[in-house]
Amino acid sequence: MAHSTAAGSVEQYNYDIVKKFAIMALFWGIAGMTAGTYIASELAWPFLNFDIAQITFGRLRPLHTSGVIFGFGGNALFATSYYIVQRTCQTRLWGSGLANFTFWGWNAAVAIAGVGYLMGITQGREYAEPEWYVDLLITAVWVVYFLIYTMTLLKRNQPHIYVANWFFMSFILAVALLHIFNNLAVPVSFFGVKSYSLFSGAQDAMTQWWYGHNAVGFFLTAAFLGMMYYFVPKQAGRPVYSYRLSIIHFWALSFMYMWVGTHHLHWTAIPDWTSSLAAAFSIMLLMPSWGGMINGIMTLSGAWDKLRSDPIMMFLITSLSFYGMSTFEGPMMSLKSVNALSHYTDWTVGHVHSGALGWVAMVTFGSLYHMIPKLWNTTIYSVKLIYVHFFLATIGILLYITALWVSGIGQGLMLRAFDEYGNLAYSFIETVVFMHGPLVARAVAGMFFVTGILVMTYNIWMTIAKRESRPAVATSTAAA
Amino acid sequence: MENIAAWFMDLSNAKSLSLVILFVTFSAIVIYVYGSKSRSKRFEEYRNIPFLDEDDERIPTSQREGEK
Repeated sequence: MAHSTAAGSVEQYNYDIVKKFAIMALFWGIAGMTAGTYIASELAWPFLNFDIAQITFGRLRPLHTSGVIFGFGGNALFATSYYIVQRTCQTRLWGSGLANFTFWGWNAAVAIAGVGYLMGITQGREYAEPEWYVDLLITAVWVVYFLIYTMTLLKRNQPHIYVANWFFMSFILAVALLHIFNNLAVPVSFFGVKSYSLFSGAQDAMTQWWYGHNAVGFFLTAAFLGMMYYFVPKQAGRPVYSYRLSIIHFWALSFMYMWVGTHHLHWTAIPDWTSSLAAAFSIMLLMPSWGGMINGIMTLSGAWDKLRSDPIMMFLITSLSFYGMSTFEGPMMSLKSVNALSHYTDWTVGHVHSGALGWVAMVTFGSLYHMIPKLWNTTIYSVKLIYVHFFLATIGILLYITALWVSGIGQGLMLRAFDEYGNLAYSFIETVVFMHGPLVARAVAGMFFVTGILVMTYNIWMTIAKRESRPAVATSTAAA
Repeated sequence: MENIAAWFMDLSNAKSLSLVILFVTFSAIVIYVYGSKSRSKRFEEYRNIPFLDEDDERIPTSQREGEK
């Protein structure tokens, strides 16, 4: 099965690139999550702004979202997709030099964008804040990523393309489409940072949320499902529950996600039928989402004891549970009547984080714990610390979403309440006073989660250090 | 002929048409995946692909091939 290579010293798989991306995922994870916890604290204790423009909520918030989505999530996806495509195709990654370009290009884009946000440079499009020059760099990186992935698939030694790679290819193609069309803009000058979007008004809003929700659908869902379809079976030591279900899961998800973005624009100036269409497809999307969740969880069928004895499995199965929960909550919130209450409140923020922390981050942590020791050909430094990380993360997520349910639903009810004369029952500041307690709880929840990733980073650091020191020990033993 | 082209160009018709096309395509995929016992058996064999990779990938390819 092994792909033959001419150079004798060349290893079967290119693990160097996977290692680099995996390490950077942790770096951006710490940076992005710390920024998130800081801005959550600013909302609870506003003095933390310190009257410094660069660290105010408006500037740090995109640093947080880009840091965790594109820095942490993006690097984790590059790492795991390069790992999975090599191992399921049993061939070496095509184009080592180009793979390095994707590493430096992607991380430079995230860094340049992040510094820009602090200086107030943004095009003001949610999850697509970087200005035109960063967008061009991302486009170049993404085209090369597509080329590397496709060429590696073409030279595979395994006749069938495993389903995880389908999800990754779908992610690469959809994100290319979304990124290019959402970022169509005209720069004011060649040497200036400012640009203006090609869209305006309702079309601008439609394009923005067509991008925004599909970024969730294809970047934060499809791609991480690719991760799930490889690492859950590998860690469980048994194949995925149903391969046919995974095929249906893939096609149903790909068909339906593109239609649902407009549910972010209920009760606005857009045509009403687009809103209803998006709500209908959002409800239908529950079926493939739960089909995939059940497929992942049932993979453990007959080995449920691993949920007690294997902390990595705990991460992976908990992530699937949160995937199921947030893909139930999302369609429910897309109903116009529910959305009338939930929109513009903290409920939405809580929903996003049950997906982002519960699903995306947890499946990433589980996958990295599985993959990193294999990359360095060693074992994990401390299993006990994985348990510690798991409970810190889980407590953090539960506290976070519970606090924002209280804050968001309470806020929504107060903003909609009328007195007996038909006047608003509460002033805006009264809702803010009500939200203070839950916002403090949310900041504390963020601290739990950040502490968890710090514990993980220490564990990974020691795992790698243990591996690096092993030859030296062997040498000294031999000398003695 | 022009009438047919105009019918397709009408946005309200295009919506219905695309719905029919997508629904038929998706139904065809479901039938293809679950419709044949032998095909189902073949699909389910692909579940094992993650376990076909070797754990000795740290050994240079040339050496592994030399051992065979």
